[in-house]
Amino acid sequence: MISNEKSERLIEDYAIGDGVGTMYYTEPITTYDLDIFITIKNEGQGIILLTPIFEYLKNKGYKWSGEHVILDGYPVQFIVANDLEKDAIKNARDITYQGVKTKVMGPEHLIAILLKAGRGKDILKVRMILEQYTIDDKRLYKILTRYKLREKYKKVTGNANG
Amino acid sequence: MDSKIKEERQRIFTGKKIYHKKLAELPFEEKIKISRRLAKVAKNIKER
Repeated sequence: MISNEKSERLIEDYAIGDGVGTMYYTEPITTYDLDIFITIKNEGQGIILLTPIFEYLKNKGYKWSGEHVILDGYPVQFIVANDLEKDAIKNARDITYQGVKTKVMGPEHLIAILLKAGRGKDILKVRMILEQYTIDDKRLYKILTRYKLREKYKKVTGNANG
Repeated sequence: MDSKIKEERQRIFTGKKIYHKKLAELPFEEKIKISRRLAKVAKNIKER
């Protein structure tokens, strides 16, 4: 669905993040929706309108529930990316899900985004990624430094090198 | 006795770590399926 939207030029680029993104690197976790971070072509002109995307999906027959579009019974939420998330999209990994090519944020960017969000459940995901996946330390520290998140990282992990 | 308890705790903890790491190695499709099942169960419990 997203690849179609991308090809129809409604979405410039995208990547899966948050719970489902985390789960690519960790054990299965309880997630109620799929968060897709997007960048839009005509962004930077003031208000970002998602109406064309919503119209496109409506015309394709997708159903809505609140802020989610229901895809194969799974609620999907579109989130317009901030600078850190844009960086994550730019550096996302190409993966295949059920034979379809898609993109998932890298573990280092996910850690930074989750740290920035900073809720209890986000911190839990950070710990899971660190415990269950081998991350690129240099890459992580570079991102943490760029987005001023090293202090937060230190607090969460107790890692003096943060 | 204390050292035996410590040893046992360590064994359980290490075992748990290995178990979680093994789950993390499941194919993504399989993880999504499990996650959706977990969400359904959680939703049912909440609605009770």
